[in-house]
Amino acid sequence: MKQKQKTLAERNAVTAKIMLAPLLTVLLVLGIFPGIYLVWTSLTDLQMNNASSGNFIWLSNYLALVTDSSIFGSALLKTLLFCLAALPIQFVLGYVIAKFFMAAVDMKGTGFLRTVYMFPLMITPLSVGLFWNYLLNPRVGAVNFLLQSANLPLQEWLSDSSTAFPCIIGIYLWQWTPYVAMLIQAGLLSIPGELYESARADGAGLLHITKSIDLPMLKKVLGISAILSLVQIVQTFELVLATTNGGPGTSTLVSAYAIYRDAFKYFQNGRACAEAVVLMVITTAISQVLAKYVLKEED
Amino acid sequence: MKFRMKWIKKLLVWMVCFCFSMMSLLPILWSVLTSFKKYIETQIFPPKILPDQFSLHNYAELFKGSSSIVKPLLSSLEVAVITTVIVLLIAIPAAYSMSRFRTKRTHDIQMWVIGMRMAPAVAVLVPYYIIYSRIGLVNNKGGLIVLYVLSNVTFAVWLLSVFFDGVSKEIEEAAMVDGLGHWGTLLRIVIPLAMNSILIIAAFVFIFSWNELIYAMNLCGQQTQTLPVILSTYASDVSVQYQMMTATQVIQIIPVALITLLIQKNILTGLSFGAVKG
Amino acid sequence: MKRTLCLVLALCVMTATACGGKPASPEVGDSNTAEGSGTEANVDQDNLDAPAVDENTGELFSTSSEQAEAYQAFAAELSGKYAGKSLNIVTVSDPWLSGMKEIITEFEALTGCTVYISDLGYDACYSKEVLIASQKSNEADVFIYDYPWIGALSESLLPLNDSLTDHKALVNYEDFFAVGQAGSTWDENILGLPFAPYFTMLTYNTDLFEKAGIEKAPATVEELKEAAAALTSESTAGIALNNQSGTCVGQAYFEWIYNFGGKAFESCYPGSDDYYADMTPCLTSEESLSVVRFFKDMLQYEGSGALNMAWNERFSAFATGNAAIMSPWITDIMPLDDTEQSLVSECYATAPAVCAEGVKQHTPVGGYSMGVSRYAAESDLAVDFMLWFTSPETAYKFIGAGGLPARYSLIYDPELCSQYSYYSTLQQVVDTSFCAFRPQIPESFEIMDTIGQYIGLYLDDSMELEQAMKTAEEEVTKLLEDAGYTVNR
Repeated sequence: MKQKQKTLAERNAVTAKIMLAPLLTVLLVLGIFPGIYLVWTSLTDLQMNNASSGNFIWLSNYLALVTDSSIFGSALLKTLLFCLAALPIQFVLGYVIAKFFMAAVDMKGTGFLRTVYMFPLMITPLSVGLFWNYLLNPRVGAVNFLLQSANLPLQEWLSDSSTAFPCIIGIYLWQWTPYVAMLIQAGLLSIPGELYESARADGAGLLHITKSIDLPMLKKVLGISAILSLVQIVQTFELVLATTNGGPGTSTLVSAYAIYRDAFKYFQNGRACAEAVVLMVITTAISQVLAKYVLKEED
Repeated sequence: MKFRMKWIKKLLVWMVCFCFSMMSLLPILWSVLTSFKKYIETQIFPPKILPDQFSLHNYAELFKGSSSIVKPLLSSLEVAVITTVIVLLIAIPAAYSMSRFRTKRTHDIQMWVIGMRMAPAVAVLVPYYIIYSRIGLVNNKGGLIVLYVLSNVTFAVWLLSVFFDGVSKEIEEAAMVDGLGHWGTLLRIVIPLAMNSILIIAAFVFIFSWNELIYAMNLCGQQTQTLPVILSTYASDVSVQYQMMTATQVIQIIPVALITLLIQKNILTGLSFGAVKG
Repeated sequence: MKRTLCLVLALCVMTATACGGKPASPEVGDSNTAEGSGTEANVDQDNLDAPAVDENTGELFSTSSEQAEAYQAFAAELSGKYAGKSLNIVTVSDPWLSGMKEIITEFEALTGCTVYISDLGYDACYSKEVLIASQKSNEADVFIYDYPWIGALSESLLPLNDSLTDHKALVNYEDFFAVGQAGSTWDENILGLPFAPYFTMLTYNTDLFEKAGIEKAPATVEELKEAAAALTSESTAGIALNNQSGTCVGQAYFEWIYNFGGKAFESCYPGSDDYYADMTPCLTSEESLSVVRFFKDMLQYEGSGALNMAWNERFSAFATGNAAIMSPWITDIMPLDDTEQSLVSECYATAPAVCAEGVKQHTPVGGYSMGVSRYAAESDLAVDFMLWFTSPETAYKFIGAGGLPARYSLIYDPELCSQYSYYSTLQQVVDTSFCAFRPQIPESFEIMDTIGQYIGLYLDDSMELEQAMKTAEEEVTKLLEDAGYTVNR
């Protein structure tokens, strides 16, 4: 009997490996080269538009990022601010919206509404940026037209350093809140209905249900969505490219845009890779903490 | 009386959902209206809500001649569909394995997997451009699909493994006793039970590949251009032709909206796996 | 559940096969049509040339009878020459592109080749060309590039000096604007032929000028300020300038600095022997500061949205009559004639860019040339295409299709002059223009953006003028030093 169990466990281990094999192969084969390239390039002065560059310069790129009053430092702070401002709103809003769609799940037309709600996700972010730049144009935009029709004072939106960054966050939220809402809804679906029924029978309020049922049950989905959204925000640059180019002043200059500019416009590839490494290390550290918290429990 | 209260409550909930959808829809509706206007109509203030005449001219322009967007549209569809299928083929067994055969290393693998997702485009695009230009994969849809699989498979595996955790293990064990192996259980029990979640993940993979711009812009030539590349050409240092751009946007939304509507009957209808679990 | 799974799978398979099958077939079709038209080329040729025939004389547009003969011989030689071959062009998607595409179909019909055009936005096009060049990829045969890109691409573009000598009569190289020749030449190698040079010109709304009682176009900065002040009202902005932080205002800085009597770098000015001999930045000079101060002064006349105003918004403000003056590229002047794009088609005029009192006027020139990649798969075809496309005959047709003039013969052609009002301004400025107002070195964009960013911080009140320009100067100095230019601190 004991013998048999062991072979079963062994067989399970083999199956487990076979099932993981394609994924690991893909990640290893496809992921290893960019990884090596990234780290190696960050130690050189490579400029792809200059054939005589590419010399090994040790950690100079990293030192320049720390010592200089470098633009990248302030851009990192902007990205942090972006995360701190956008993530909570995105999740609270996403949760509320998912709850409403769940509540209306058995009504006619809800499915259609949900698809409509997801429309912003289906457009290329660059093009979303171009279009919102038009809507928010203080002179001809539809948003100021609405304000005018409602007799409210007109705004400068993207042309004013106090409102530009909130606008960028708003556009981001418009496009990506549906993403979180849909993931949360997928999570809500896995919560057995009886839990709610018995809670309601006990006379629990909405807040109590959120705290005692949804949050614990959704912990994993929320954690993963948070990591995914974090990555999403950290990599947002098309929006800035299409709307303000980082301005007015440097009020919307986020780190992903700085990296993009360094890599694909200035072709300072060494510096861009060093910046990418720094950004990746920070994001990975944050998500490690998040993931530890999320994935710990059931082991 | 109680019945009526419930009905009113439901209607209110539905109205709120309707409002949420409108938040998404109104800007896009504006984009639809813009797509029928002439350039100069898009630039006057106060704007005319309706175009002077609903002319299909802008759309006709998009489908005209050698720069017709039919080919990019088909390229986009092809790339997105193939990416989605490959991602699911790789991610479903991997996620099942992670969810069922949990070992110490599972956690490491999961972290490693998500680490891949954090690589910004510059870290991936430049090295891949170098390889591709050596082996002739530039200007090839296959090359693009490889990169899309790489960037999407990670998040698919992560989420699927969580969703698979939610599938009742008792049913599976019963199936195992009936002589179905792990593969059989995965195919016959887990996948059908987790179908809703799989579809949602599939939809996201599809949408991400559908929307992707940076890789497509640098790795596609004219023959393989995807729709986002066409959209990106409106971002130039000259006057943006909003009427053409919005027409292209509308066309970008339509196929995905149709597919979502088609599969959305499957999302959330019938039995969710959570219900089975109880 | 099982049924739905089957349904979805079936759907996926169907879509996949449908999509997988289709794109393959047009390619087969394409090559067929290419071959087909190749054989028909001889028959069609007369018809195809028809639009370029001068209605009065019944002759093709040309610069001389010798040139016309050379063109006829060249066209005859090209006929069917490249049947089955293909040519790959990478280009920006600027407004002249549709006209270019139209004309390229004639080239396809004539030679039998197929032309593939990858068009991208400005930044994306630059990145792609540099990527291609860095890998010596044969992905592109023809690069279409803006003058400031030439430094970055110089090692990857084929010198055309020999080809041009071989086709002296056909090309008539001296007929290209001198500024276009200079802009496409690097270290005495001719690396491209200009076909769409962009001049900046002062453009103003004559109706609004009349209403404000201003009789002539401002010629000096002071006059411009006065005019802008007088033209500003509740409903209209006196002037629209590019103020968006970064590239946009950075470019504007370079557009104005020379006409303010200053220079951005010690030896980089019109008429200098070697623009890049001494690259010490002069950003804190009095002239330089006055340019930036001027930008800020003008904000009060620019109405709402001024701080995020870029090329697009500037054009829109002027074309709808909401701004009385702008100083745009010629490519933003051309659509003003089109009533679908502009409300001012009857009431605008152009004049040379303004300059400070006592300073010689220099018109900033950017714009596009085409060059052949050193690593082109079809370099003969690419060279022939360029010779054909930039020949006076085709250039004339290109203008009819929405293109720009790059040759003296075109802007002095009476018929074209009567059709395009801004040609008279072009005649005035073509030989006072300056192609290296943005340095043409690989570091150009980083310099421009850095300066533009600090100007942005000043316009936005986040920094004092002197401090902003001083920091910009330090950063640019460091950048140029690192890149190995001569810089004196």
